[in-house]
Amino acid sequence: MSNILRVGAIAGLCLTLFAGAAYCAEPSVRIGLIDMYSGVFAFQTGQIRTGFEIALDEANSLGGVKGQKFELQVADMGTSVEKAITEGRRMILNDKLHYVVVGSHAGAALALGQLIKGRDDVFVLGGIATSKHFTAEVGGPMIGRSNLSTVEMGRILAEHLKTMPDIKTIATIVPDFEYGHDFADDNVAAIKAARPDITVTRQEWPKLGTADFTPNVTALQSNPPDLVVSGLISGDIISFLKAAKGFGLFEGKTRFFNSALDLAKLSAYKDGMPDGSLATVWYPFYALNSPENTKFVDEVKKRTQSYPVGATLVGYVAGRMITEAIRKGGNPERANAASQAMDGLPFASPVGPVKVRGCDNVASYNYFLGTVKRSTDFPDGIGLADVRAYNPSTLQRSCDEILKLREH
Amino acid sequence: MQAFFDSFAWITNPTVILRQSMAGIANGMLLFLVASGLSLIFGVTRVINFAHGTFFMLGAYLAFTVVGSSLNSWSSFLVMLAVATAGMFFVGILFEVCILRRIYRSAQAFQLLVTFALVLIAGDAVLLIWGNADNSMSLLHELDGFVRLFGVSFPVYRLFLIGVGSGVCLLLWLLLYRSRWGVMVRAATVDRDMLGALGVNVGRVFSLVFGLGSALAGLAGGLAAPIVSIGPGLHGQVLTDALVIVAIGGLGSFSGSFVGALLVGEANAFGILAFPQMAIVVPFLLMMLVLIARPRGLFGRPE
Repeated sequence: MSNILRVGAIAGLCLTLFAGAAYCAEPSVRIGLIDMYSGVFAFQTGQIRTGFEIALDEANSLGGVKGQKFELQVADMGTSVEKAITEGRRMILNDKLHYVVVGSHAGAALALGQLIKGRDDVFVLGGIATSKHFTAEVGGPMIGRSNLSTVEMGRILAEHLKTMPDIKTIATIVPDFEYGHDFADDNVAAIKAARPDITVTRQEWPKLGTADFTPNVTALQSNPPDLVVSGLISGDIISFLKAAKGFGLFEGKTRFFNSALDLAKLSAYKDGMPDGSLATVWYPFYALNSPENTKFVDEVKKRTQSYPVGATLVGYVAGRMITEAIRKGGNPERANAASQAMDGLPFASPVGPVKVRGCDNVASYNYFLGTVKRSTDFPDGIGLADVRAYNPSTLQRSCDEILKLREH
Repeated sequence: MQAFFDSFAWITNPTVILRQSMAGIANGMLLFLVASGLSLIFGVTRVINFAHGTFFMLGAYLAFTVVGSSLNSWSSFLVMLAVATAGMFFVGILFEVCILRRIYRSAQAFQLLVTFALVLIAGDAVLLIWGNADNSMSLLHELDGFVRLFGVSFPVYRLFLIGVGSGVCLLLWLLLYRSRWGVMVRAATVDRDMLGALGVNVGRVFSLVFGLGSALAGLAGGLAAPIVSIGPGLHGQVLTDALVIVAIGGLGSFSGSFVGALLVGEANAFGILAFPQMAIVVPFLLMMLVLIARPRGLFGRPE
């Protein structure tokens, strides 16, 4: 009987101590991440999350903020903006989160930006969503972006075309939705400004998810340009390149450029992507030589058994950006302190230094342009050679321009 | 105004017109393979199968599973097509027997919901089995490259597809109009109760028709696999085009699917050439015009 009493007393003491410890422990700083984890657009969301988690783990290994650990709270929006709004409301109103990141859906980022308009206790960060409107027309002190927009994408290509005087005519092909239209408009505007001698011969607007690009390819052949500027994404690039190869679009003078490719996925384009094609990438990990890059690649490989892709890098930058700002702001309960801390916030990344601009809370870091080449030096036998870094900070719209857009 | 006229400069260029026409035929023939199955299923069962695009996608995935990213022999090509076709035949029959058979007498909206549920379930199953990556399969070496036709480069594989599409069209015609089974199928489209009263096992006819329609989608998926990106979003666009074709041709009409597919293929091709920014609406405009002139479609019959 005495043994039973002794065991009971010890168990009671343990429970009391455990409960007390749990009560006294600092609550964690929860950061919401809303993304498309189910449905057909789930191709990059896992990688964004991986990068984000690496950043949070790094911040936690440094002690978090004021003894509080960072904790990720994930929500699946499927492909529905309405679901993203519901999840955002739940995070902000029910779960009392002060920081919400929208991983990849530009429409969801814009909607959540509108949702928090006028509040100073919630900060919304856009991940890989490239909508230029998010931090301009919709933007404000409590909104930020960890990726470049279509404006900088266009200006980077335009800068590069200054080194290619043989390109005199271009045609664009983009998916027929908001991103595609912004991409085409911003690229054409930037190219016309940088190279007024270049003529746009055709503009193609296929539907997202087009299976057969044959009519687009033959239409491009009706007046073959020197360069096809493509803003196609994901599987559409494969289908387009296959149709282009079948009809010999790139057999003659016409070259191909695709924006925002993932090197780790180049093998999927191997059948159709001609050598000498141009491409911009977020993360040419094998062309970079820095301790941060090596460490990040190893960490991603350990977690996913795969190469990092552009989304992994952008997810990491988003995670670093928000945790660094919270740490610098000093009070995780006050999102406006983190917002103020964004101005000039610097941190290191696998692609070099990152700096956040205060007027629109946009992170700038190197973006790369190179030439597609088949070689055994690359993973999967295909990669990007002659890689050149462009820093979007020198090509961004000015703060005055951003503020003017907000006035309208 | 000048820009508007510039967009029609191709009218004076016969090479461009010829190339675009051939692209339209190639596009249409692939769509015919999908739409013919959809139309066949509707003609007999009166069910608009929203999952038809999903069967096309699953056919492509099955083909990819059989040969992987490298297609290197005729035998593997034929095996891949056989697996895609047979696989979808059995999936179709399974779906018809287990689910659809129970709801033939239900409201059409309910039937639509059930087939749409299959789209969602299959979509997530694809993510679970094959993941979310976009996959690519090479063309068989003998069918790669292009030939010159009337001074225009044309891909060998597209010619092959036109040949296969025409062959399938002929076989279907023989099956539907020159076989005893075809007589039963056509009778089922007119009066299924009367057919049953004559002692024909109508349930089996329905199952086989649904299986055949699904198999056609699977075959189309297998044939398309080397020229498209094999990914979880493959079904959406194909289904939309197939529905437009079936509406233009006439619900349940086999010859209507053939003509409708060629019309949609050409509308796509010349819509893109003439009105690139509005090309998306051209097939729908065509459908609207056809339905205004002939509400049952070009070859549709009254109920």
